[in-house]
Amino acid sequence: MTLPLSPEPARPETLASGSDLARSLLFAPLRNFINGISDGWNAFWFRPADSSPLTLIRIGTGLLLFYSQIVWALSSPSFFGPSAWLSAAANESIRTSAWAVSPLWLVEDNPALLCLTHLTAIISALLLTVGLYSRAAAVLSFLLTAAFANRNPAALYGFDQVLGLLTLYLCVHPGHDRLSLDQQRTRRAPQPSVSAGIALRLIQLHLCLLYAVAGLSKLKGAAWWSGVAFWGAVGSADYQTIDLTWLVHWPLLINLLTHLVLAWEVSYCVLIWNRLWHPVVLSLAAAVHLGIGLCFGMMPFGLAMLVANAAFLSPSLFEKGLSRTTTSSPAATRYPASGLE
Amino acid sequence: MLHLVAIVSAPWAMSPSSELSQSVFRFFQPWLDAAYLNHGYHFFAPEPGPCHSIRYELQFADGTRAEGVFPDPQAHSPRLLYHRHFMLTETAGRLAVDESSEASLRQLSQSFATHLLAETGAARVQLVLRRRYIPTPEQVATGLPLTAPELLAERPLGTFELSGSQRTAVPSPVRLAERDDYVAQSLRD
Repeated sequence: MTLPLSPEPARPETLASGSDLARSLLFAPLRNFINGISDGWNAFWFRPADSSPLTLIRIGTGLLLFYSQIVWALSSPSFFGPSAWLSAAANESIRTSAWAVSPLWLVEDNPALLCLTHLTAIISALLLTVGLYSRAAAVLSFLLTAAFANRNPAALYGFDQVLGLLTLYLCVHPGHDRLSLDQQRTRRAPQPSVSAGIALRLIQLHLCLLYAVAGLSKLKGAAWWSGVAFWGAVGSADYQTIDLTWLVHWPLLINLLTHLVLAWEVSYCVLIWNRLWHPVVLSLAAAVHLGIGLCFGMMPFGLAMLVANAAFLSPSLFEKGLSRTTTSSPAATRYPASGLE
Repeated sequence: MLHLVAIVSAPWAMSPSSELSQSVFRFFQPWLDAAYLNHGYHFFAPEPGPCHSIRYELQFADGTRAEGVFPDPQAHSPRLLYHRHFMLTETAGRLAVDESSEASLRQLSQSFATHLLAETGAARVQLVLRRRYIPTPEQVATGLPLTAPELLAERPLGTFELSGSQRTAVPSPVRLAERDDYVAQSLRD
C-alpha cells in the first residue's frame, strides 16, 4: 500500500518562535487588508489618467461660462452697479458669513473698472474654451466665478453652483492637451497624468455627492412618495416653457416619472460605478437634464450638469473623434478614470 | 481629503442638523464661502412648492403711475436673466415665511425698491410679494389655468421713497407694511 505523498511538515527550527507564528497568523490578514485599501486608494486617486473627458469638460464649461458672463455683463447696472438689485446692506443680511467676499463691491461706483472686470471674465472664459494659457484661464475663471457669485448670492441657482465646481477642478487639470491652442503651440502628444486623474475623481465624487443629497433631501417630501412631485414642476407657471399640462390625463405617468427621477437621483452615486448600470444611469442623466432644460427653461443648468457628467464617460468614446485632430497616446487608452476600470 | 470633507459638510449641516455637522461645517466655512462651494443641493426638495414674484407700483413726481412685475419673462430675456431675477424673488419668498428673517426681508425689500426707483426715476414705489400656488392636476383638468388669479396670494412689503442721499430707499411714512400672513390665504393651506 502506497501512502499519498504529503508536504513535508515544517520543522520547528524554520520558525523563529511560537509567538512569531501567532503574530503572523493574526496580523497578516490585517496587513493585507490595510495594504489592499492603501493600494486601492492610491490607484483611485493617483493612477495617471487619460484627460480626454476633461477636454470636453473644459470646452463645455468655457462656453457656458462665456454665456453666463455675457448675460452678467449685459445686465451689469442691475446686478453690479451702485443701485443694483442687491445692496451691500441686503447682502450683509442674507449671507451666511463674512468669508463670502467679492472684489466686485469695490468697483460698483467705477464703471470703467466694472467694465474691465466683465471684460476680463469674458476673455478668461474664451481662453478656457479655446485652451490658450489654459491653467491660468481656469484659475482666473474660478476666482471670477466665485467673485461674481459672492456679489449676488440671491440671484444664483444650480447653474452657477455647477460652473463653480467645474472651474475649480479644471484648475487641477484643464484638459488642455487636446483640442486646445496650448497643444498646438507645444506640439506635445497627450500623456496620461496624475493631475488629470485627480481632477476627474474630484468631479466624479462631487457629482455623486450632489445627486445623493438632492435625492435624499427629496425623501422628506410627501409629494415624492405619493408620486405627484413631478406635477409640482409641470404645474408651475413660473418654470414652464413647454405646456405639459396634458399630463393631468395621465396620472400614472406622473407617478412613474416622479418615482423614476427619485430612484435615479438616490442611486446615482452607487450605480454609476457599476459596469452594467453605468450607461443606464448616464442615459437617464441626459434625459432628465435635457428634459428640465427644455420644459422648465433651465437649459444652461441642464447643459452644465451634462458637462459635469462627462467625467464619467470612458476615454475610448473620445478616441475616434479626437484622434482626427490630435495625436492620441496609445498608453492613454489603458488609463481611463471613468470609474469602470 | 480635507476638501472632500468640506464639501460634504455643507449639505450635511443644512437644517435640521446636528451639533457635530454644524461644528464640522463651521470649521470649513471660510473655504466653502470664499470658493462659492457652500451648497445644500436641495433641488425641488423636500418637494416642489409655490413660486414668488414681486408686483410693484411706481408713482412719479408728476403724479403718474406705472405698474410692473419681476421676474418678467418678456422683459428679462434670455432665460438665464429671467432665472437670475426669479432667484431674487424666491429669496424674498423664502425669507417671508420665516419670522426670524423679518429684518432680512425688510433689507431686501428696501434694496429692491432702491433699484426700481433709481432705474425708473420714480418718486415712490410700493412692493407686493406674490406667491403663486401650484394647482392640483384635478383643478387643471377641470379647466383652471396655471396663471389663474385664484392661485395668487399677496403680502405687501411696503412703500418706499428715496432718502436725502438719493442712494437708498427708505420706507415711506405714507404707509408701512404690516406683516400679513399671506400664506393662510392660499388655496392649498
